[in-house]
Amino acid sequence: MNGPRLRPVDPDEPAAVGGGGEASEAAAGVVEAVEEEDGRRQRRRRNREAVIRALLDLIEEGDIDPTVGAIADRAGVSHRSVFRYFDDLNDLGRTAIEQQFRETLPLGVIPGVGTGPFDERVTAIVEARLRVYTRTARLWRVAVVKAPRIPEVERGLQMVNDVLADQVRRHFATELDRLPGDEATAVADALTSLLSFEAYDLQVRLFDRDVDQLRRQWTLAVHRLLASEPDR
Amino acid sequence: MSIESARRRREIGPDDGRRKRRERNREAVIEALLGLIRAGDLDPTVVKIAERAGVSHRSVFRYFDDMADLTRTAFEREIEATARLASIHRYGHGSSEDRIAHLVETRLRMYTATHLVSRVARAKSTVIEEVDRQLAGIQDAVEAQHEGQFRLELDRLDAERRARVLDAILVTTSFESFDLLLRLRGRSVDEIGLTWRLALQALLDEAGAE
Repeated sequence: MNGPRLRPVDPDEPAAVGGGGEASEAAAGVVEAVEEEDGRRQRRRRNREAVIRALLDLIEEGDIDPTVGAIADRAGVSHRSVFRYFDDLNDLGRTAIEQQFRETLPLGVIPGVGTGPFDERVTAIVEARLRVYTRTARLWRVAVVKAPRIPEVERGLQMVNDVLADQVRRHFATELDRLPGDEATAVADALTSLLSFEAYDLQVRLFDRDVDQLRRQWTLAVHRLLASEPDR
Repeated sequence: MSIESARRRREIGPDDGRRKRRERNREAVIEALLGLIRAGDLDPTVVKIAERAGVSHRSVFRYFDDMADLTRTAFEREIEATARLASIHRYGHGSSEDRIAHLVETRLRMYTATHLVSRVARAKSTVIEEVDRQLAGIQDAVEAQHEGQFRLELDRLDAERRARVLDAILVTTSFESFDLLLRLRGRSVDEIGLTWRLALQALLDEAGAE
């Protein structure tokens, strides 16, 4: 590509030092100031990211309630600067969880939700859930640990669960709409809890099931729950 | 009283008293933690626990290595205290429908009684390995109970399908499912009961067919 460098900004790289011979000295001054400002902003962003990553890593390693000191050490920033980036530890926890959910939840989207033959829809939802849970397991566990003491995290989990429950209803609307109201709700609830992260985590972490066993179990169970047309 | 026995008494007597006091305080700390959780404080501080137990903040860690030690001891206590709730009425007997109903009833009773403590145990299991093992141990017992309760239906399945159906039953009637439906979906205990009975019927009714 010719002309000005339009390299995409990589937040993990130090600010690129540009410079064109044709720039006047005044312009160069402005550019420098902007670059310095840019550099500062990028450093800030990089440090903020490092703090979030440090928190998630520490919790994953078993430190349920890492101190600010431990987080700062791991992130390689000063203790005080943690609170330049975040109001308090709850703010940090909530931000870390929110950010990762925003990045990873799109993995759970089912293209053409609710359309196609039943068998294909079963496969589509099973694969979508496995994709999103495999990628977000760590984050999700942190959220579950944090939820009792950070109301925003509790609300966030609730929201995610609402989205997933709604996906089940829409994806299997054809089958569920055939059932009387309270039965449709009951079967949708059973599917929601069967296909939940909690169910995934229980089996992977406590029962040592592998993803393939989980896939077969979910496929079998969804088929039975929806095809057997319960009569009560 | 001989001088010898008096001396022994001096040595043993106060020791005994100390041991008893220690034991009493230790119990009080355990009960304080469980009491606070049951009252809705899902993550009580050491200060609060000490206050409720009527012991000094520092002495909490004379009785327990650390917070994780206290937590897993308290959960052990809760598990022992509620074990009787896990017994199923007419275990392994009756129609398929009866056995499903009795199992669901038993699980709901247990989870209702232990809801908040169980919730905290689940949250802690991610970070306290010992609690993870406690829960895994319970799950083994629960799975064995399902095998006995639904032997008739399960015996019609090949090994692979039997394992997957057992997993599905375990997950469906798990504490995690109860908590999700009650707390996050806002369902009543009766509604959860209906959901679970329907699900178990679907999972087991068709157990023979392919």
